[in-house]
Amino acid sequence: MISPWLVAVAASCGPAADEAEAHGDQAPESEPSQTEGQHAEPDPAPSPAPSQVQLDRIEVRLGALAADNERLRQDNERLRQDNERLRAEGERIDQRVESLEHQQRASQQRLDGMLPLTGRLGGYLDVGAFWAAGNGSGVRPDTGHVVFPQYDGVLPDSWVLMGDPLSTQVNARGDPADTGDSLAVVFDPIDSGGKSSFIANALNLDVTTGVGDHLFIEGLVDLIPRSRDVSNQDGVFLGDYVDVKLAYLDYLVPTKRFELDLYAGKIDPVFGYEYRVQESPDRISVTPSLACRYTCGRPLGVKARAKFLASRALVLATSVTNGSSFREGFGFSNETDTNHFKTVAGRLSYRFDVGAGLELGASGQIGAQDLQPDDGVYQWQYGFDLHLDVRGVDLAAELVIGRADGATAPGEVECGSAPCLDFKTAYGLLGYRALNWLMPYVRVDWRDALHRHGAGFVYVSELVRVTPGVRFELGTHVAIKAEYTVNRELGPIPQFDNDVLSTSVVAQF
Amino acid sequence: MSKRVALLGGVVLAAACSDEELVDGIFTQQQWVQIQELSPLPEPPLDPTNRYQRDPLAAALGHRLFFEAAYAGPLQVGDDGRNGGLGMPGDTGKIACASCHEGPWLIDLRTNPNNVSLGANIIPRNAASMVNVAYYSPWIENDGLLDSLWSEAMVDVEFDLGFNSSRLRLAHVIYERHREGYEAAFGSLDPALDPTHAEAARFPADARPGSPEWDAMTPEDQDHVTEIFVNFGKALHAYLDRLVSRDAPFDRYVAGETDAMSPAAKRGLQLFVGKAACVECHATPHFSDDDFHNTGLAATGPFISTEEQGRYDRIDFLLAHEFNSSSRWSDDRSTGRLDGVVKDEALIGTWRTKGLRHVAETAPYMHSGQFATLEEVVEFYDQGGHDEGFHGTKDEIIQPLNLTTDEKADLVEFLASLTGRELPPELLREPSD
Repeated sequence: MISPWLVAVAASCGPAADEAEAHGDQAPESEPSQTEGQHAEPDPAPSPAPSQVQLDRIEVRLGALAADNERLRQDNERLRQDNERLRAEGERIDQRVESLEHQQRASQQRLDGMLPLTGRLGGYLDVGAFWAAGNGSGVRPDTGHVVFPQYDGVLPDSWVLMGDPLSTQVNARGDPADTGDSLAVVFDPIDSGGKSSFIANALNLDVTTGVGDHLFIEGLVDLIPRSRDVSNQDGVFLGDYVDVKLAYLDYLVPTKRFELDLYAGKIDPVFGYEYRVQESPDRISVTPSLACRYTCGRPLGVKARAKFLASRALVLATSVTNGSSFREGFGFSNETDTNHFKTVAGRLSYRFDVGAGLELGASGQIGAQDLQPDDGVYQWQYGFDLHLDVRGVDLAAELVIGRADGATAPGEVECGSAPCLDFKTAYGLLGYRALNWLMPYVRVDWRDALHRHGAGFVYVSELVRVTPGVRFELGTHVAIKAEYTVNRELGPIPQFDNDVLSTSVVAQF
Repeated sequence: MSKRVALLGGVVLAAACSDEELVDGIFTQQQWVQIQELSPLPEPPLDPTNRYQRDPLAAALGHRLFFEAAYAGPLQVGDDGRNGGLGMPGDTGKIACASCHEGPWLIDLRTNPNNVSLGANIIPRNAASMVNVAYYSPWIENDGLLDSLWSEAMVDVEFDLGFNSSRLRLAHVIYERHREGYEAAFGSLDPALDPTHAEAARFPADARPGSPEWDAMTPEDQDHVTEIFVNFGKALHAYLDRLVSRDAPFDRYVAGETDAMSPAAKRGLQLFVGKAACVECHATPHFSDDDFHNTGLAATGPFISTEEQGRYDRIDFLLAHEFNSSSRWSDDRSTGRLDGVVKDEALIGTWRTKGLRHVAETAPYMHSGQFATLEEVVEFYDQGGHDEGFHGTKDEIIQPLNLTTDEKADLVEFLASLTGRELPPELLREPSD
């Protein structure tokens, strides 16, 4: 049954109405329609009755309108509910804002009470346990000159070392489980001999002090508990020792067009990315990459870092330092310099607006070779780095290529006067924040290097490591990390046991 | 992408397959091969320049002559109550080989200071052990003074600081006290060596080349006396050839007796053939490459000359020596030992590698005897030799070793494991008959 009101509505619009007009059709006049009741004036002439075709069309149209109506009703109901929810949310936000404003006022009062800033003491404790396969060392001698016969008659077979002395690092400091037969990397603070062990990696102290509005002093110190036979006065082990990692002045130049920091002292290097996250709480993994020995050292000198553009996305950092960015434990490192030609380094990077940031950088450095008195013996390196943080994914990658020229006196065995080093190394570290407190990661790193010092030693290193691990964060102050490093030699170097399992518990204060 | 995944998988898989089969849980297969080249100790090398080397009659005579003192000339330095001197100045017949080579290891147990040895006078060398001395070939003495053991045994007789004697004195004593043994081994002696013989004047009591008495002798008589002198050396060589000590804990360990060496000694052995690279020079079963090296030793100590230049100083002496391997007294002049031996400046400051068997029993050490203990020796090499105060250019193989205290102790422990069984007592004492 179709009501006359609906028929009238249908007739006044759409093709049915046009058609009715064209054919002079009229609606039946049996009952007054609702339309009539709503209009002040009645129709001057009753409409002719619609045909069956028109009625069918009208019925279809009315069905569609009824469906639209129902949908609109549902939308309306949803909007009403959303409105209520948003109103409640708004009330909560208002309350939160009010609370934060209250806290901010309280903090500001406390800060105002503390200013001028006089200092801050922070730091962390890093403890763990580890096990390294074999004798704990990452190198083995080429006994009998079997693998590298070209050194037969040049230097003893036991001084031809295959592998990487730092491939069995067990902590964020980069300490190897054991140096074994190593001849250049000889500082053996752990000396595990391939045995599993608990270890207190470092008690770190971070001191920051402001001097006025633009000058800051920062010091970073590790207190490191290690073994020593105290009954042996001639022992070479340091025992417990202190490592002053950073000690510098930072002057924030008051300029508005760009940001400029000037540093002087024992400073962070400017090379690559990994040095910025090398402290245990900052490092996703337990151990450094194979590249870190070249980029994570903290030299003495001066540095400038400037950030340009409105977004401060373009960063240029340069430094002039006593020595390179090689780490102290690697055998190339100056604090007090031995030559006049300082190491000049620079890095240019740009941060793209991708997620929390996609940073691409290029670095380079050149200077007189570390530990050499001759200004004419050069050491240089360059590299590229990437860091991406987006949607819980943290990806870092670096490539570093470099060389220490070394020196050979006439008639002397090659590199006899100063050691030579050629290296290429790269790594990629991918972490995924699966949960707020859980971040599995995997690192793949690779190093190809030849390090030689006359008849004293030669290291032939070509290896790849795969390090899967997981990082748990218990609140904002404690992290637990565990990883297993699969160490594989490449090229003609035979495999030997040097995989590493390492764990770390880091608590910040 | 699939290749990378395959590579990663391969790496992980290979990790599970990594193996390192160690001998006794310590040594790699290659290291063990190297170690097996150090043991067992074979027979001493045959020296064709002495055809009497394995002659038992010559050895028996040499044994007696080792303890013979009658031919020694006058002492220049006597016993002052502290120096271990053998008598009063001017005394004769007081010095035997055994005077400076005594005890189970035939070393100088008498002289004070012990870095030198006191014969007729002070010899600026600590007398070396005579046990296993026959393994040195061909260079004898730290500076390679001579190229055969028999000729070296002769050299001290007419050396002023040694026996301060002469070949005529020796010939007369052999005639008088060892005639039977000598003639059994080497043939008849001229009866005119008997002082009561009618022609005794042909052989003066005391004469050596350069003296008027020697020059007055006929060439034939000179040759006869010199032949006695040479046979004296060859007889001593035959005796020394028997003074072999074997079966050290190290030898037993290499032979399969795994508990023959302590864990520390085994670690020391690993260092010896590994990180410390001692085996580069202390090779072969008697632990010497019989070659000359400049270890960068700044010689110091009482009576030690700082002017000595080792091998370099001895080349002229060796090439001109009356009894070298190319001389007419050599039983084989075709050995070619002296071929290519020239006074090369590269030899300045070089000294022959010492054999290390029973080294723990033969302090003091180095040609100057300036290190009283093996710990000092190991420390010296750990430092990469001295920085200055030595002649010539230090061998490039002498590098700082960066050994830990424990590693140095392990090396010393290993060196102690090279002490073999002591010689039979009858070889160490004067024959009773």
